[in-house]
Amino acid sequence: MRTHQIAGLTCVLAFLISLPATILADTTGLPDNSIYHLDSEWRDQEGQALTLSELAGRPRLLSFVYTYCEHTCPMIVARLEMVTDTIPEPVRNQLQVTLVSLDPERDTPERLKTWLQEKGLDGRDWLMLHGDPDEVLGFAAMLGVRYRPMGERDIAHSNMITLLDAQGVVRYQSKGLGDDPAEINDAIESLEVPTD
Amino acid sequence: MALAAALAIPAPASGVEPPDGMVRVGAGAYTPLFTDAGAAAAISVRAFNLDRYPVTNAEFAVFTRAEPRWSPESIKPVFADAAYLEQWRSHDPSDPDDIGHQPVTNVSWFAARAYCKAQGKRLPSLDEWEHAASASEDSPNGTDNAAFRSRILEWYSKPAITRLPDVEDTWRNHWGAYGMHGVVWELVDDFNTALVSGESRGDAALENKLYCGAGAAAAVDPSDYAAFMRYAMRSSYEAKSTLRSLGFRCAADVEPMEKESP
Repeated sequence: MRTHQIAGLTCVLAFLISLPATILADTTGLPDNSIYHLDSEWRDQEGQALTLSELAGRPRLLSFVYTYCEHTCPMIVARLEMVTDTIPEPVRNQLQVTLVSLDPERDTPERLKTWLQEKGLDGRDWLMLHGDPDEVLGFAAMLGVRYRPMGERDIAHSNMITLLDAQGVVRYQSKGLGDDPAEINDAIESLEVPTD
Repeated sequence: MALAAALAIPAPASGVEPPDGMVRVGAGAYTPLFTDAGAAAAISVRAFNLDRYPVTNAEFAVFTRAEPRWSPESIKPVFADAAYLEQWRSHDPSDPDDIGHQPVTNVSWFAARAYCKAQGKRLPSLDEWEHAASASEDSPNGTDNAAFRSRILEWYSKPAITRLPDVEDTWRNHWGAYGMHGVVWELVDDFNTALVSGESRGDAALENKLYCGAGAAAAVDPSDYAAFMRYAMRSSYEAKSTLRSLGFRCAADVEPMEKESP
């Protein structure tokens, strides 16, 4: 945990979180169809608190996974690596892969960080999100992601990859791994990304 | 734990009477339509409190006045589709002689969730709702009662009711909950656990199959058709979907809040 290093920010966030939910997140300026209107609180792999609206500003490739998943999640991750490796560099510098854990009990922020290191993904500027089960359900429902615990350890879930533009508007969703990966690339190319 | 703390605000101690407007649904087990391979057929459900009636238009109108971002004028399209509360355009939601005491419908899952949260409650889980709804008038489990099942099937076979009844004018089940069947479909919190498959793109095709009576009869015991219909309904709607025949009621935990300090 690095919370001691960000104590000031944490205090500010704690104050904000204590306010009524209706004014928790600053969503002014976001289009009405931005998913960032959903008030919810998360922690990243560094343990830092953030709200969904703070994700605005960069386009994102977003997927719901869990790190103990041995079935399709590695394929989703591989797909995300492949896509980000094949897009033009100016876009790649803007786009942030964002993975939301469906298993908040086991996927603590620390675990999410360790997992990135274990998979050799820690140099890739990926964002991992940990939220409580209620927040995960709301976010998943917002994007049409369905999931259900299967037995003690597994979670069946949609293999969906969502492309969000910088304002949190859904620009593309691949429904499954059978979709043509080129569709994601085409959708990314259609984004208007500033090239500095 | 954060969830439990957020939801259990007015929860009474175990054994204490449920709060006003709620009934206690006793612990039990229900058998879901589909079970995972290797999983037990029956699912245990703990005792919980459930609203006696579906939430009414009048109650929901109080909520939207208190939290205007959920009003038809202000709601963002990511939280509800264009038909959100459309009955309010031509009716007074607060008038008990109009639609005030009718179940509120054309609400989305997001809005229903926000409403329950504002009451210190939550939406019932799918398992909880199904367990409560399996009660007949005089038994916690009416699934073996042919007459009860036949009445439910009769409702499912009818077209949507054009004028909904007031919530008090519906039938009362064993737990004291009114109108669990025969009035409106009801939202559950974890609706998106329905129809998990490797690829969710199959959902639309499955929905079509599920809505086809012949398909249902081939897949399961036709007497489970009502459960199949509910399953199909949950797998077909999105969190922002609204339907003329879709309402909700809230639930709450029975357990008292865990004390943070000794």
